[in-house]
Parts: sequence; C-alpha cells; structure tokens
Amino acid sequence: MAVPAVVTSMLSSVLRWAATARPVAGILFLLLVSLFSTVKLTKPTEQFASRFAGITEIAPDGITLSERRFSVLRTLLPRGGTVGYVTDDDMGGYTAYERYLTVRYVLAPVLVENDHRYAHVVGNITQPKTDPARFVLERNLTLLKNLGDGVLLLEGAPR
Amino acid sequence: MVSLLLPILPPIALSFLLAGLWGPGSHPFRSHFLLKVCLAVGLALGISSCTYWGWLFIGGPSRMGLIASEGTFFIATAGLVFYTLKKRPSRGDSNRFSESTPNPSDRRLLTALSVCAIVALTTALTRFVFLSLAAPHGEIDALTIWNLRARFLARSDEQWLDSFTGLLATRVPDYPLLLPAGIARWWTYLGDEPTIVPALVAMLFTFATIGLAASALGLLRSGGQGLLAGVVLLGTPFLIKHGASQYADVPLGFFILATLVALSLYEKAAGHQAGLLAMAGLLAGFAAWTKNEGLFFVFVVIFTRLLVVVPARGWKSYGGEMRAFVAGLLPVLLFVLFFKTHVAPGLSQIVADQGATTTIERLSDASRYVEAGQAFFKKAVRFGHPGFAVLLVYLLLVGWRTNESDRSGLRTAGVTLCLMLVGYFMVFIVTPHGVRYQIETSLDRLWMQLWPSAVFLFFLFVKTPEEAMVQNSLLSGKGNALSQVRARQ
Repeated sequence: MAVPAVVTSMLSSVLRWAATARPVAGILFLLLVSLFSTVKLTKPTEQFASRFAGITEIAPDGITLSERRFSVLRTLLPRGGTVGYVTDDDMGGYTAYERYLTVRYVLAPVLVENDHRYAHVVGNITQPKTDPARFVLERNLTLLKNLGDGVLLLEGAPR
Repeated sequence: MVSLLLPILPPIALSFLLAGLWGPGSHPFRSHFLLKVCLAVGLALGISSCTYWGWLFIGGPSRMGLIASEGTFFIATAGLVFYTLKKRPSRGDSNRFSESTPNPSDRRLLTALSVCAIVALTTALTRFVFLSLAAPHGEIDALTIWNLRARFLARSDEQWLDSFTGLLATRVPDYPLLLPAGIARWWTYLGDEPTIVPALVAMLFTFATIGLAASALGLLRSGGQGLLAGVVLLGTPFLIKHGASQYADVPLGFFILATLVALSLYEKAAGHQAGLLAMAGLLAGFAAWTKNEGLFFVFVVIFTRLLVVVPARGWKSYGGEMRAFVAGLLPVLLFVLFFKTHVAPGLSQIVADQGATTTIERLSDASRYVEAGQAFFKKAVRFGHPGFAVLLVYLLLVGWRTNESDRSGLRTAGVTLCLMLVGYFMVFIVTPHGVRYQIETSLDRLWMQLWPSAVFLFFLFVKTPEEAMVQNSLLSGKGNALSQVRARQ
C-alpha cells in the first residue's frame, strides 16, 4: 500500500526537526547538567552560612583550636628531635589517631612518636573524667608542667 | 595582599616568559594570553619548589640567602629568555589555530556559553573559598603529608635534613616534594606561615587546570568548545572539593593535562616545535616531582610517543622529538632522582611490600580483577557530576569530527590516559593493602588526576558547538554556514 504524500512529508519534517534539534538539545543538556552541579556546589555554602548566621566571628576549625591549645607547649620544646606521645584516647580508634596526627602537625618540626620512651613526652588528655595526676602515675612518667586544657609536658625514661 | 603574593610573582613572570618563548602564537605574550598564564602558574610553582630545594642543600635554611640566590637565578634566566625571544624569527603558526572572527550566530552562542561559564566560575570560586575557610589547614592527607612536610622545611634550623629525613621515615618516605617545597619557600619569603598560602596554591592549581583545558581547547578546536569544557570542569563538584582539600592529586592532574596540551599544540604548531616539546618534558618532570604516579606518567608519555610517532614518522623523528622532550624533563628528573636516592629513607609501602612470589599470587587471583574492575566501572559511570555517562549522551547527540592535524594529539592523549588507567588498575591488583581498602581510600583521587585530561581528550574529539549549530542552520536551510566554517579551517 502506498504511503500518502502528506505522511511522508510530515515524517521527513519530523526527521529534519529531530536532526536540527539534536545538537541544540545536546548542548543544552550538557550545560544544564553542569550548571545544576555548580548550583549543588553552593549547598554546603548555604549550610555554612546558616550555621554561622548571627555569629560575628566565624568559629575556628579543629586544627586551629589545636594550634592554640598546644601553642605554649611548642615554645617549651626544642626546635627539632623526637618527643613521645601519650593520651587517654583509645589509640585503636580513628578519631584518636586523627588527634595524634593533629598533634604531630601542630608541633612540627618536632617529631612526635606514639610512644612514652622519650626524654620529653607530650600528654594529651581528651576525656574530661581523666585525672591528670593518676594518668601520669599509671604510665610511670613525671609531670614537668601541666599547661591546662589537657596538655601536659612529661618526662619519660628514654630507650 | 600584594606582599602576600610577592614571593610567587617573580617565578610566575619568568614562567610567563618561558611560555611566551615556547608557546604558540605570533606574539610571545599577547597571543593566547589565558593559556600562557595558566601554564605559567604551574611552571612557576614547579620551578620555585626546585630552586628552594636546591638552595636548602647548598645554602641551608637562610631566608636572605634564598632571596638573593633566587633573585640572581630568576634575573639571569629571564635575561636569557628575553635575549632568545628577541633573536627568535617571527612565527607562522597562528593561522593553524582557530583564530577566525566568529559570525553573528557563533557570537550569540559564545555569549550564551560565556554567561554560563561566568555563573559556573563564580559559584565554584565561592564554594572553593568557603571550603578553604572551613578547613584552612586542608584535609587529613594535606595535614599529615604535604603541609606537615612544608612546616618541617620552613621551621627547621641547620639540622633540617636530619629532622626532615626522620619525618619522611614515618610515612610514605619517597613522596616527592613539589608541594611541600613550594609552600615552604613561600612561607620562608613571608617569614610567617599563614594558612592562606597552601590554600592559594591549591586554588591556583585548581583554577589553572580549568583555565588551561578551556584555553587550549579554544585554541585547538574553537572558543565555544573551550567554554563548554570549562563549564563541565567547573561543574565537577569533586574537582573543586578535592582541590580545596590541598591534596596533591589536583596539582598532578594539572601537570598531566599540561603535558598533553603541550604535545597537542606541538602536533599542530609550525612554530617553536622543539620549545613545545621541551615544555612538555618540563611539565612531565613536574608531574614526577609532585607524586609518584607522576613518575609513572613520564614513562607512559615516552612510551606513548613511541607508539604514536614511530609507525607514522619513523625512529629518526621519534629520536629527535625525545631529545627536545628530555632536555626539558632532565633537570627536574635529576631533582626527583636525587631526592629518592639521597634523601628519602626508603620506599612507599606499596612498592616496598612487593615480593616476587606474593606479587605473582596477587596477579593470578581472579577475584582481585573482578573487584577492581567493578569499582573502576562504577567510578567511570558516576565520576564527576556531569560524568562519563552525560558526556556519552552529549557525544551521541552532537557527534564527532576530527581534523587530520588533530589526530596525532588525540592518539597521544587517548593512549596515555588508557595506559595510566591500566597502570592504576594493576596497582589495585598487586596492592599489599587489599583491593577494598585501596578502592575506598584512593580510587576517587586517582580518577581526579586523570579527569581534566579526559575532559580535554573528549572535547578534542567531539564536534564543537559551532560546528553542531552550523549543521543545524544548514539543515534548516539558514544559509551556507558550514562552508564558512570549512573555509575558516
């Protein structure tokens, strides 16, 4: 059966329209997906803004707080060498390990080893219930200085 | 702000001169300005990290000594580059690139794409700034590797080498030093350690990567193509997020992309071909000075050029090409080799833990291939926000078209990226850490090293929006635009 002329004409128009619309659709598609991604990018920005809305001073991050916490201790340590590290954290946990890495970063260029057998040992008390005196005693260390906020400078027995 | 930027301005100026000397265009500085600025940013951070590291060995941690020695080096080198520039014959390669005046419909398209690019750039910049404010010291690897090493270098006294080697021994001992040395140098100049410095370095690398891909494609294909690639990269959330994390993957991705861009320009340029090859070598060297994966990239590029050049043009051509490439690569490679043989106190665990028997066992374990293969496939489909799936849809809708002059550059970029992926895949197979652990901790980062180059390769291959729109006009009977485009090319 012959296809009516009007149908073939409509079909060719549709095909031509599809061919011409395709690249435009492609470009628009790529732009919209990319721009949608960049709009999504602002979501954390909004969360950040709302979190600090009404606060005149932006709260410092954890590392900056640690820098302040250990700033006095840094001045008491030599500008090199290795010191030990003890904490009341469970060192098997990720957070405790992250805290240890933060102390290493904060106290550079002193190398901080997770071991108490050094002449100088950094004590990092993170749990409010921990008693510093007992903490030191249990580890056979000598307290040289309690710098407050859970930061201790201790004397250990070197290897 | 000016005093903050002052330490990086001399190396950027010198690098811009080098990009002008070796890069494309009839005018050394005005032609393809954005491309040269983006290249200069990466070169500057690479060069300055080498000069700082060299000075530490020769003169020790002396601030004034560093400033005086670097000043002398930069002025002498800049003088030499200026002299060479003055003696250089005028270039004839401009007409090889797409510098034609756009027609009115192209202009409308370019305006629309420019608006999209500006929106995407503003949003990405805002996001980057907020991420940097939220974590000014960077994320965990930045803290424990890159910025920690920078602190050791910048803060140490005369015993800096013992102290630094002690630090290296504790984790990934042979990771190279482009980022730590670059940041430590900047801090040494300032006499202070503001956290904005590593954040600025991260920002420069992230946005120079996007600018480089966009400007190179604008030059090699068309303005619209460059803008579209820029929007796709700006619309990749992980690129911005990971860039702001201050890890070394985005800088490595920059140097991988920049090497492939220099090689693609070399294939198309009639001008200073040896210069572009030397620049490609220098950039590949900086990739090796950034991360160990960059050293693998150097071998991959050399091997890829062998696969591409020898069948087409013979061994003699390959030998000549490699001479120029190695001339750029060698100075940086010497820094890398010196560091690895004389300073680094060992090998990274992933290399050190490879015994012949265990490696063969791992290689013959089919389950490792299945696990790594599944992870790679999932990542390939979902990576970036636009991702490969979206790029594939775009390719099907718009189509592809390549010129003869683009093919060699395309082959180089394509084979390089495939070999890099194969290399990364094999690391997952032989890793001593376990495939699952490796996937969880590094697959995203490894993809990010290759993503900008993958986007560059894709847009080298796919039809430009101008070509696609011209076809559109032609099919709808709106003039002879296709013949205009062909005439321009």
